[in-house]
Amino acid sequence: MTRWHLRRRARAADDAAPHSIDASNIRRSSLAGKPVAEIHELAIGVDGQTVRLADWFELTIEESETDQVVVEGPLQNVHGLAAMHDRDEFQIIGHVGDHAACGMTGGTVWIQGDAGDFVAAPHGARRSGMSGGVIKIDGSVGNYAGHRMRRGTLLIRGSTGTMLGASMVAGTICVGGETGEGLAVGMKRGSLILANASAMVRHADQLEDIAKGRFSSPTRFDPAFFNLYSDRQFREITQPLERLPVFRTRADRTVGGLGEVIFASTAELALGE
Amino acid sequence: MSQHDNADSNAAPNTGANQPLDINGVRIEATFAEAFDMKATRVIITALDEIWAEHAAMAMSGFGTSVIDCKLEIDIERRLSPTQTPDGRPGIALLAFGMSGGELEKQITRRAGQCVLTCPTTALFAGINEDVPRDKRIALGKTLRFFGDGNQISKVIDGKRFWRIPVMDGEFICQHDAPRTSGIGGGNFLLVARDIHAASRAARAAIGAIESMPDVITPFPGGVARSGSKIGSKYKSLIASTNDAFCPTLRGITDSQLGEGDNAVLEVVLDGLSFDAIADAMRAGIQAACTSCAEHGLVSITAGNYGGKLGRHHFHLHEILS
Repeated sequence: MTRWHLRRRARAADDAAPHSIDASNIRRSSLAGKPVAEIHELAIGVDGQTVRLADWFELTIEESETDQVVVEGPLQNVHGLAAMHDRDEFQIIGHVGDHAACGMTGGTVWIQGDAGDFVAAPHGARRSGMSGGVIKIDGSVGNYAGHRMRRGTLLIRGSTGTMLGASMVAGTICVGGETGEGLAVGMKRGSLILANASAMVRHADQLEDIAKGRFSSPTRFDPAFFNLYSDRQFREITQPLERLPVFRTRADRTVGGLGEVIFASTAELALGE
Repeated sequence: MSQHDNADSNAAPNTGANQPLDINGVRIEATFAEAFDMKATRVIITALDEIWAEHAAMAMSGFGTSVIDCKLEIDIERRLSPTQTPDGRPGIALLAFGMSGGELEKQITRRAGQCVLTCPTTALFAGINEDVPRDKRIALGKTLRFFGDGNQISKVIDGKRFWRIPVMDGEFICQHDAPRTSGIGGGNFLLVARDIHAASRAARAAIGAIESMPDVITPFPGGVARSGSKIGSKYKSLIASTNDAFCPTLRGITDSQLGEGDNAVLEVVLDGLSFDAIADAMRAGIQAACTSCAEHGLVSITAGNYGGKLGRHHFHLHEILS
């Protein structure tokens, strides 16, 4: 097994006008079995131009117990990292751009920082988003996280932008912080687990009657299946749900309503403040 | 062939097998218990408390004494603390044995549906963590999920699939399937006593020593059978009939193996996941019976076999106890 360590080369020009890098070719399956020289020639996109990977990333390869891809450096404008990730681990150290882990099918993606829009969404023109594995994000994410997600687990320690879980088909998304507007729009199935539901309730209250009908009335719920998760990050994010009354609402009822949003009732929510 | 296969055990018993052996004055006969291959699995039932878990386990293991007519031999293996169960609640592990993988699956699925799904607060999990091919896995939630009528929810957690099936007390959580493994059925020993009081006392001592042991069950009521059987019958429709050689009331009219004064015999039947698990349990049970009941009328310990024709696993009493 191999550990590929890629460090993005710093460029002074980035400070003025950051380059947009499409790094969706940096994936385990593209690196496996290739000699260093061939990996150096791997094509990535920078501002719409195709360039050599070696021009933008410094590569180190070593033996490892499992396949592991590690990417670090200034990555805010590096998009599509860990796209279609299939097994073992992909580790991103730092804040990363859009479409991280989009279309992934298995293994683990660990983002030690924030991620942009469309985490776990479909890759390219595909219909389905993430279809397996686990994504762990230490920070926050942008809009459309889990868009069209089909399977797998997305753990977000921080907050999310708008349209979380939009058109979700299945899978589990767990969020520790606040969520933006448009939560669960078009959600067919799957689970959204929210440790902090203040923003969701606030936004739901602001919706017009018809839009409000996207959610069923919350009912008390015993999330016994949480006990099956041994993952430390899941346990940490869901800790508030262990000591507070837990509720569940079904969404999105305009498309069948078989998805679920599980959340804890804080004192703030209970008092309607 | 396993190291315990013993196809010609009658012809060439091990050295010392015919030497007299007694424990605390109880004679141990120079014979062997004959056991056969079975298909096995372990399931774990958890619940809100021990009481509901016990109800479900008792229901699921009811009418599971012998494959002869129950088609499944199933019993409680051991009680589990919350730290030993997948969902951190009190639980009970059950071992189940069938003559074929198909029959085992059929019986487990039906019992899970009628006895666990129905029992308040329970959940059902696989109790064996083996990576086996799909055709060697027994359906649990894979079949029971349809009770959810489309409202069931699947969750894959740490590579295992679970089903959350809506029921009237919340959700029934059930693992998708359970691995099937190989097991051994029909380990046994017979307690020959002066009267039923002595036999009963010895049997309870034996079961008391066995019941906490892992990987083995004694599926008959209280762990004990009084209706030991031989293969076949004068009636064509029966595949087994009373073991007349050990029936005290038939002494004198059949080829009895009982001596004068041997007036009650009880049999402990064991199924296990391995030869060693059964051998260890037989040793513990026999020693407990002999230690506590020799002075109360336990005369001898023997075992049931069919001349080596039924099963390839032979548990020689003298070897086990030496």
